[in-house]
Amino acid sequence: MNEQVNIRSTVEDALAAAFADARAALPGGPATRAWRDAAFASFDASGLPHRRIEAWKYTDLRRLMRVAAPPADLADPQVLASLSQTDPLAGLERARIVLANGRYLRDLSDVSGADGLTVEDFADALGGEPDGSDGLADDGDPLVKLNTAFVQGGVVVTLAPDADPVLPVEIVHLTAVDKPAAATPRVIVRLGENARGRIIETYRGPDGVAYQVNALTALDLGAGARLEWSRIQAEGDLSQHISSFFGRLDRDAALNHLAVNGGAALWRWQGRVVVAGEGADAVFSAATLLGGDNHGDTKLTVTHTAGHSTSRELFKSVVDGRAQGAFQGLIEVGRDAQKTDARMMSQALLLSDEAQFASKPELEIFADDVQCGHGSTTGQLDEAHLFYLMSRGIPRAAAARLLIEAFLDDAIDALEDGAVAAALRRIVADWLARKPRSSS
Amino acid sequence: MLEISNLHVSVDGRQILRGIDLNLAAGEVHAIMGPNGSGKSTLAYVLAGREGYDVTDGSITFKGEDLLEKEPDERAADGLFLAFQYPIEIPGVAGMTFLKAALNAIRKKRGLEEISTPDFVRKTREVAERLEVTQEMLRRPLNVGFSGGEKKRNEIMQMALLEPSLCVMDETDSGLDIDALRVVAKGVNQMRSGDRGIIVITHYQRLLNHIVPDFVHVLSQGRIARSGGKELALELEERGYGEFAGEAA
Repeated sequence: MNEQVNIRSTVEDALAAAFADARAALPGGPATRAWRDAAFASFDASGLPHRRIEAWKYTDLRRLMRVAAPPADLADPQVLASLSQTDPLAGLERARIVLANGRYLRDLSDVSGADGLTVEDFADALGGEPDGSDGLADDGDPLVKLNTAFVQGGVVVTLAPDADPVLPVEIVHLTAVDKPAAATPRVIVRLGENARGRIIETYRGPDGVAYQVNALTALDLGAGARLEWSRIQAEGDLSQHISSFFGRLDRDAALNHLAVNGGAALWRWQGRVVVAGEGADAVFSAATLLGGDNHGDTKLTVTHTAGHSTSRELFKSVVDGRAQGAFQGLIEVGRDAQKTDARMMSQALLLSDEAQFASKPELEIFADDVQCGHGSTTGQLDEAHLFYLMSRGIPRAAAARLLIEAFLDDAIDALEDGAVAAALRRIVADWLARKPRSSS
Repeated sequence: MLEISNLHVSVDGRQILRGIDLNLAAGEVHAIMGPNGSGKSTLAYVLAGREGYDVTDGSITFKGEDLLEKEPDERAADGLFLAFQYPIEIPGVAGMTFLKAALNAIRKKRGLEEISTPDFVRKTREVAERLEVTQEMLRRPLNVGFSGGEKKRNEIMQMALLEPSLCVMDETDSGLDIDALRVVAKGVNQMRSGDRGIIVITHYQRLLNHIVPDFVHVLSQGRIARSGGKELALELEERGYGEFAGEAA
């Protein structure tokens, strides 16, 4: 009698009930439904991830996720209108692909300025191939399975070979709800050979509502394609945000990915990137802002399977209040990936005595002629720096802000698009001006 | 302008200053000389308000107010400026951003409105040229990659820009070659005026050939052992600090 019995938590019960309720109404035909059922059954067998699952050790969802919000209906027009009033990219010229509550809103989108770009509704794509996303359903992660089971819609964005649109393209995910609800979007981005593009991925929603987002993004970069990807996570203050990112880089492709994480009560970004072509280059940077009782977790696995490829990671985190941050990074170098050059760095700045940051960098190398390195630091503001700035008349709080911005600027500097970088710096400055407070 | 009375200061429980008395009136230049370890830099840091310096007795009054009550930024706004012996490198903070933040913080506390960007750029350029601080240096992060001489010139440039009423210069001459010394001294001399006081802290008499003091004080073992006119500096140069025997190592 040593058979293990998996006892469902109330949240897992609620997810099962929500899936039973929703499955008939979710988009896609019978093939898609079978695919959703299989994903949910697989999730149900394992349940929510918890701290004994190594990949989730810093974000024990079984403990942290107290409620499973029901799948969101169509966007609430009033909330949608108020969200469009508070656009953090106001003034930045760009094409826009708008998703609300997990669904593509064609009427609010405008990609006319982006030559070579096509947008397809993911819900339509579901009518054809059940997967529509390059075998991602095989991924063993429980939250990826939940995305597969519940996915409400999204977009398939394609940039034609050699295209080089003038404007950056924003893919904005709005959660426009006035009571707790869950949005489950999926975005597929494909760049043809030698295409060049800039994407800004934005997540926003109302403060004061405990909504939940479980997003999945998959990126395929063709040979020689170059993409600058900025990700702005500016979710509402009570929200839960989980994002899974899958990327694949072909020969000589280059990805420059920068995240600014400044929202949500509880969030996790998990990336799995395969540098699959010779000469490909992947850069990941992040400026993370955690305050109050926030919990934020970044997990990234970069796998080099081809030789002469490079990757760089620089994750900067500022942690205030009683917030908790974590970084789990893994660089894998396959047997054939000779001459790989891969580096990973996580730096955290703790602004209070109760702030916490955990870092776990790992390397797994199976090739013998490679250069790989990782580093991790956690520290506080330098008192000598503060004194110097204050001795010139700058008050302590403003001096601290200058130093924090300088610390995060290291990451934002990775961006080539100056206008987008300026917008990201404004988001950082705004956050610093109105840091979330701990509930006491 | 500045009255230091019976100042006792300890650092990590070790007594460094043992009863300093010093009065400085507007328009005066005072040189404070002394051997290494006599407490010169401690005095500079206590004036600027650095943490870790415990005033165990005595007082400092600046423009009639208790200086020791105030935070470093408030002292700066009141008109006190310390030119550091070892200016600190601050990666990521651009020189111009820092200068503008400092100037506006001080203007705000003095009830002035923010300086406009064109005015700021013009003023900075003018002061920087005078001190041979290049535009390239201003674009770099604060003091990062600067040579010793560049750092010192940058300190004096900040001083000229912020227009303090009391300048405290801590061993500004250390690490300067003779040409840089002339540039720095010229910058300081241009700031001499009837409503500004200057304290020049130095180990050597050399700087005082260029910035001629009204008073010279010799600091030894945490006390002012002797005070005099500018000729005292020449005397020290000739005879050394030997007569101030038993000083701390």
